[in-house]
Amino acid sequence: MTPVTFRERSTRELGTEKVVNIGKATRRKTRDRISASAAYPPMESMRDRAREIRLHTLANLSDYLAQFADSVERAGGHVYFAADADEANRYVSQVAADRGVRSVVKSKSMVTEEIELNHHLESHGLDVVETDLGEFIVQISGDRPVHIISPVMHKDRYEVAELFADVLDMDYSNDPVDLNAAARQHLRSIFLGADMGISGVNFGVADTGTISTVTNEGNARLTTTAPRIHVAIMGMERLVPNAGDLTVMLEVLARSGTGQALTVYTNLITGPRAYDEQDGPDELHVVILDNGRSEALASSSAEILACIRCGACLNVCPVFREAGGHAYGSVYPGPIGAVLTPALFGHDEWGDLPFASSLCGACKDACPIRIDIPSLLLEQRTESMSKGGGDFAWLGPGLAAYRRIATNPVLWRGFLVAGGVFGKATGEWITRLPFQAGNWTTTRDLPAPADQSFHSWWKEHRG
Amino acid sequence: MERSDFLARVETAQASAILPDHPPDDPGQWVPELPEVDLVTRFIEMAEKMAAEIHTVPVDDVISEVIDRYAIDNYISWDADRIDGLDELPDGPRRIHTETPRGVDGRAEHNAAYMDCQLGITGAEAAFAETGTIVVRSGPGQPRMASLVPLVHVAVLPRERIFRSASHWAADPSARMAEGSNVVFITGPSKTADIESIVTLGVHGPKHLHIVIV
Repeated sequence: MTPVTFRERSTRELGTEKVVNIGKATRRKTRDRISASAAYPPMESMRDRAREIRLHTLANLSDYLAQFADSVERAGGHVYFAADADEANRYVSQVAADRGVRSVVKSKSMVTEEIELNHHLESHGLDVVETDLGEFIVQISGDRPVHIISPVMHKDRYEVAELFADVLDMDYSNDPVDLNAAARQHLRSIFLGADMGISGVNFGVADTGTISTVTNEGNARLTTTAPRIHVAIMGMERLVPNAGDLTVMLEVLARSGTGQALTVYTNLITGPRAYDEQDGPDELHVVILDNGRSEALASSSAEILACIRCGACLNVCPVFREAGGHAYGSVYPGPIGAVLTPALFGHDEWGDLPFASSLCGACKDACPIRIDIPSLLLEQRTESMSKGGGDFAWLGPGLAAYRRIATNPVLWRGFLVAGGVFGKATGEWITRLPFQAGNWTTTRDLPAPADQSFHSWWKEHRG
Repeated sequence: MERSDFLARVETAQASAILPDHPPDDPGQWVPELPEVDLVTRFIEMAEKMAAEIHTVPVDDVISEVIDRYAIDNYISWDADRIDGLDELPDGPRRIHTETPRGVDGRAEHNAAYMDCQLGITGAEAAFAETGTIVVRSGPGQPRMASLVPLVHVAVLPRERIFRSASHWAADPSARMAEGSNVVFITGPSKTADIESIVTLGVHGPKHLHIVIV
């Protein structure tokens, strides 16, 4: 079991200014998503189509992966298949060592967070700089991203202002325009001098070997243009069959993720710079990563791999809004993370995450791919319990005991008396049950029983 | 891991995957049903909403105006013959060279010239009316940097190249999405909302986007 549980982490976060900021930002993003969808009549049929594309691709993934790898190589790129984080990291540091790379720029990529690539490269003596404004703030403050799309939605401008005044060469200002200008200036020279650029991949196109990255800032474009080597790291599930499928996915992603009609820059890369082109990288390496994905694909939660990382489910989730992304302890927080994290990295460490949900279903409504996240959370809970249950190990025996008591009138009356004596009620709610039953009331209240039991009422009125 | 081992592992996994109602065949080209509109009008409306500035006067006039307005003294450009409606490149400001050295040496020195680049002039080979997006392709005489590093980007778009949406363009034989090592869809100037969801323009890419429809 994880040494730190969701319960412990979330207890630290609840009620802090940090999660108040997250609550505000997620509500705004949800409003933007809903109005962007409402403004576009084909949105609902486009979501259906996006779901078909993703499920079809997953069901035939090995064929599409082979086709994609062939296409990348035909376009002049190198392809490396990495079974796990370690293989992926070692491949990248080896490429860097072989080619005399000293400085690396990165555009925002969750998969590189997943494999902790920065840490690995830094331990090999390389300078690694994050260039997405949010990720840059995360990096220089020694923090972790709190959201898969908006990594610093928990920080306010005052915190960023103090950080920049401290780290960058600028006078104190808390105006986002000034902060942005200072970051642009600072990062520009780093971009232009870097030897290697590392990006993620939003979608790979199987029949052409094209990789797409979407950013509003342009950091993925600079990362894949200025340095002489471009390395793209892609989770193996992130393919679509062809260009027509890609445009459907891009429109769905932008409207769901940020409420934009389309992200500012959709960057499509097919191979390295051609012999007659004036700029672009000399070399392109595409690392295709498994790292638990084939286990997830073989499991009852395979559908989770259809996720396109838009973040819409995080923004609507009542648990995410109150506890924030750090409470999950994983790079993938929120409803999607509560399924994906144990599915990829195992239940020993992450088995309590699927319980961090009220199963309200808001995530399923918001998901552009209509992934049945609540059902997958239940699948993952079953899996957790079958592996011992960890932080929830009490739940199985607890419910068995409850069943025995609740189906026996004598025991039940005794239970109610004990509850009255040893428990604690506030108005109409029982806020604490005694003994082992207290596990149930740590995170929820129970309605207090009526003064007169149905049993005795029945006797009086019917008897 | 060897490619064959990797793919074999995936093949075994997908055989037992539970994927509700997945279609056996690629669902194929899909184009959204949208109401008929005048493409130019719709494009202008949406692009302006995305904070781009639209011009319908001759390209040379727009470039002169931009040079005055932003006090431009250097620029990057596509070759003039790659841009529809452009007679010649401006002769006042200095043109930054884009032929980037290959290999280990010289690249950083070359790139340093982009540091304070002010203006970029490019063509645009297509546009999407529904999102106010332009499509810019790299190729010989069409460097990527021209639409990326300057503070101001002027793009020249032939009006007959405006499509209804990204999917309409992708369905057209002219799209050739994988031709040229880089194709980029540009929807408004570079921006971020990372700090308190407040939108600020010009992060790594241009702060001002001017589209000239010819």
